[in-house]
Amino acid sequence: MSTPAGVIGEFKDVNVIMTAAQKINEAGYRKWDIHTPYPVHGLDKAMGIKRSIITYISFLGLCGGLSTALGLQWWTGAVDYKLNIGGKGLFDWQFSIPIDFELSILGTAIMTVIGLFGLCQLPTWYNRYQNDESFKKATDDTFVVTIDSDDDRFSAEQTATFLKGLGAQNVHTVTA
Amino acid sequence: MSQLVNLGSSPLIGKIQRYGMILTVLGAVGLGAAYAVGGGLQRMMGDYLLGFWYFAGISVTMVFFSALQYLTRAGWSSSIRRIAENFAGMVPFMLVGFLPVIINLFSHSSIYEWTHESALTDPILIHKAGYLNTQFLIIRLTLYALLWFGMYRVIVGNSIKQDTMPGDHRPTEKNWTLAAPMVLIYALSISFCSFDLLMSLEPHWFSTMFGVYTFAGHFVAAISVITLMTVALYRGGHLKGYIRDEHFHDLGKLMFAFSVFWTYIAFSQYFIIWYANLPEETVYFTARTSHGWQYMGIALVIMHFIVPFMVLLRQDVKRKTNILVAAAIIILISHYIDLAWIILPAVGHVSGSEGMMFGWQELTGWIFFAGLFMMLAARAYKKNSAMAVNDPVLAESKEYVV
Repeated sequence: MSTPAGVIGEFKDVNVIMTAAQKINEAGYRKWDIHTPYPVHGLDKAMGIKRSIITYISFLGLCGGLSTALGLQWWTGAVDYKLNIGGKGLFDWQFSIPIDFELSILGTAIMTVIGLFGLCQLPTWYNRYQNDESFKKATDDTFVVTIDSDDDRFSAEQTATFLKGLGAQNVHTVTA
Repeated sequence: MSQLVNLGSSPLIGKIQRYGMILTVLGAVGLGAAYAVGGGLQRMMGDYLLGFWYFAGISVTMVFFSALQYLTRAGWSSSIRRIAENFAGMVPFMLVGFLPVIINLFSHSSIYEWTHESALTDPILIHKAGYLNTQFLIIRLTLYALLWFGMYRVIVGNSIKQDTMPGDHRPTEKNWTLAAPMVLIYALSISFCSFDLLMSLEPHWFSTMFGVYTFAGHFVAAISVITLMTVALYRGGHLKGYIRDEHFHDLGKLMFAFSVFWTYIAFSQYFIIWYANLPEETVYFTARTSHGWQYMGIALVIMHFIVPFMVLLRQDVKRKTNILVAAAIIILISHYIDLAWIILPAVGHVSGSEGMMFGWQELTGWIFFAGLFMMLAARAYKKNSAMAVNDPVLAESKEYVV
């Protein structure tokens, strides 16, 4: 028998999955996930997921974009090749604003996408559950809980019993 | 829920009414003092216009807010929409509010330069006389007052009618149909009224962006008033279960979005005029960036943009009522500074002083209309339900999660 990759369980009721999420989190599991056919509001809180650090990555992008915009306009227009445009100053905050604004947004957007891919570990080409029939139901009408075998508290029998106790149906071990 | 929620006898509404009365009396005395000892008729009229347009703009925008919720069939706001409708109590009395402005037009020293005799020989004002003349302005102001009264009757009237008709949604359906034309009427009337009342204070100057600019200020101020009242109701223990963190979050998002929107429009207006550098356009900003007025302009950038932006940026702070109240108060103050920055330099110019003119007199008009605004809101709360209890989408407001 090959080593288990994790335990999978099916839930049909959205309220049951909410309490189950809370209990799994309280039991101390860390490497687990819930797959739902639609976004369930409040599930992230029930699962105990912490605030993402994506905002800080985005902010870095903003700083990069803004400093690029200011530096480029100042250096090219007022230092390296002095440009007199319409009698304005060589570098005025007024005319720099649209470019500052746009490049800040561009930097933020690029870093947000890159950060998102990094934090979500995208692209992931293979998932240990992807061939499981229960797992596929998550795109249809079932809330699927998966607990990975590399979690410290994982044990194939106990975790399966635990999930059954929470109201999961068709609980079974998945082998990779 | 179809039981009417009448908060008329609650301590909160009593307090709003009491403070409203005190402020009205205080403001009326203050306006009189501003006329008698504080600088004469022109200054008093400037202060009156400042106070009147601050609260008139917010009141009309409250009706627009309600119409917008009907137009978008919004579920989230259905439990707090009545706050906007109850705070629109000034709308039926707009014509009375316009009267002093109209009477002032006939004065020799009106605050509108285009009514002076010098306008007859001013080449620019001669060209504008087809639009900027006393008769046409009176017709327009009357028209705005009537249109706003009509908007109020339709949107707020149907919303209140729905309260006593459980199971029969015809009043709401009527509002769903009529909301779009009402929003269009609002957009045109608030733009043209701001052209007439504020922009024509600087008759040589023009900005096609001015209507959007004042709208942005009024809208974010109206959202701030709604936020303050929502928090007050929540803390008073009213509408339990119907005012939730989600509402605070959404109101916070609207305050954030529209203070940024105001900045965007304000900067765009400034930027285009700064770049083109044409004398008849720059006159507006040269008057407002010299003689001490530049401090008000700087205060505006800080208080209308930087502080609300920094305070409201994070997601979790929008659910903390203390921070929301602070942000709402900052926005309401900065909206006052905004209108003062538009009106007072022009009034100062007409009355012959270029220097910064800001003293206790400038607060009197605001205090007077703040009092009326609160008293009329309290009156509406005594008469109407505090929530649209039979709204077909009310359940959504109780359940939704951001």
